[in-house]
Amino acid sequence: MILYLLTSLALLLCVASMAAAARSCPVAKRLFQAAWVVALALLVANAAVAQALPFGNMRHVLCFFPLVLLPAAMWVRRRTGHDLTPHFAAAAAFALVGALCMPLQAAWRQMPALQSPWFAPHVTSYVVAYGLMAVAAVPAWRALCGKTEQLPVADALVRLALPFMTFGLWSGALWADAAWGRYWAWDIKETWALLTWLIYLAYLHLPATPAWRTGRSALILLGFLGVLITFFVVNLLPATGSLHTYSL
Amino acid sequence: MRSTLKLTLMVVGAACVLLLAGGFPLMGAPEVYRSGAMLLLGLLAATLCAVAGWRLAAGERLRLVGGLIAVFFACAGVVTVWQFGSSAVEMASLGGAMWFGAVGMACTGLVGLIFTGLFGYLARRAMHARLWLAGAHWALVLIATGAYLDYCGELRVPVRLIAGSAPAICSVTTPDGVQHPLDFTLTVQDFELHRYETRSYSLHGYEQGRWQKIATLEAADGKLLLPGGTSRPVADLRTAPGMAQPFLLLPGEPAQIIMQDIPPVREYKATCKVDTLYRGRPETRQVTLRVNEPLSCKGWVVYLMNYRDTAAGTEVELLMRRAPGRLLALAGMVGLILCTAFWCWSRPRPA
Repeated sequence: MILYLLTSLALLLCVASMAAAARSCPVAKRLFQAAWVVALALLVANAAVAQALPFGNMRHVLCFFPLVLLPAAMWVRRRTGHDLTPHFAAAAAFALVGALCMPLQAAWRQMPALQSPWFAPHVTSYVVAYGLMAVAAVPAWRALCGKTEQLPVADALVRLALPFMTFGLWSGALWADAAWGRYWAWDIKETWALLTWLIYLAYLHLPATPAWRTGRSALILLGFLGVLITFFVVNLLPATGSLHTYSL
Repeated sequence: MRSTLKLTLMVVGAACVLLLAGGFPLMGAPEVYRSGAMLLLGLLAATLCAVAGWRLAAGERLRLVGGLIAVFFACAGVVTVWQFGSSAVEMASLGGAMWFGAVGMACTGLVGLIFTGLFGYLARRAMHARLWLAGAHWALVLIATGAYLDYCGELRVPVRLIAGSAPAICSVTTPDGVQHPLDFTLTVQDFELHRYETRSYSLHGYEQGRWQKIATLEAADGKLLLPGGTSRPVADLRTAPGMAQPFLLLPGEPAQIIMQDIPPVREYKATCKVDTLYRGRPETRQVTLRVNEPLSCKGWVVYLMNYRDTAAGTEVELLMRRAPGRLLALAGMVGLILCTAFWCWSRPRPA
């Protein structure tokens, strides 16, 4: 019960932050910070219930999103000068809605293959990368709709996120080498993660000229579609037979 | 746009199409990944990466090599800190005379830290965004080279040994009947299994000729709440020969049974004895194999994969692997992670 209450409270604060930002109200940042505090409490509660690092299923991971998105928003503001608090709050709210839809698996226990030093950095880096890529999709969409001044914002976000995605993908391979006896197993989750990574790689290879503006925006959106499929579709489809089934 | 860049985009696009075909949820065709088209694309991608890496470092290739060497030493420092630091903590936790060993280990870890700082600084000085990007391309070439070497020459042989029994293995036989000597002898002396101390209960019913799980039962105040509003005390569950867990057979038709679930596995490990020759002299060492902690010996890597209870005892499933390109691929992965991060996050040099 407490887990659902905390998730709902964090969601409310994120939505309030978005609403306040839409009215250019200075309290938006404070509300997002309050959501972060609640998300921290949620992490602690999840950890207490799971008796381990709470990254064991999709609900755990979705609850972790708001926790990394506030520091990411601050970092983006510092690196690029763009205040994207409402975008990040929206991404956090989206993740929390997903968390509320997931079943509560209180009896989750960390299986032997997950007991690795790679576990926490692998999941955290993917959460950061997916959060940033989700936020990048918004200015990319706007750029595609004609607001071309938004493309540099999306570009900056992709460049911030790509190292996290690279770390997530290849640290997973390094971990698999120790746990499964092979660094690449062509598991469906791995394949989609590689596909998504390649789409962003293709984006980075496109020249930053006005002629390629539409193509670049479209590739960021396509990459985000890959993120959604990797994170949601592959996990939620019942018959994929993935080696990553413990992340359901 | 340069022709090589166009070709790169075409290769990436083609790889994406093949990956999509193979990884399409529900109806994917995983055999695509080992097809000739994929191998050819990989080869083309690796060649393009090599060309791009060469061009990106034009005029500064020596600087790039120096920078990458510094990166290598910095990484070696990190590994030293990790390995010796964890050993120091482990020894310190044992206390007593082991404190001396812990201090020694900590000193070595400290040297690793100095290495990391020094060579990390040198790498940062030597490299700039363009060189990091060149490094990322070369890292991809390393990964591809390692993957192709493994594709051509990797040996993976699953081996099943009964824990505690005398037979040891000194060679493995691949499915095509070829025997490969290991250059060491491996015996599984002991096997330990630990489970979580959680208690959960479920209701099973006999339907369509077999037992099927009907529901997971909630336990409250020492009672199990059954579907339909009735409850049963947990204390009523009894053990019996041949039954792994306590159970309670409920009266009535169709037959129903309350079972205490088998708790999930927390950890399993196999204690192994490895006999080998070190500088011509026989050497015996005892190692503990765990999931995520394989053993490397004489070019082979031994993994603990699984276990199975049999009439003869616990059968431990090991994987004996000899992968000629493994280290190259792993080094490439580490390089790619570092180079991508420094390329994306380093600020451009002033013109």
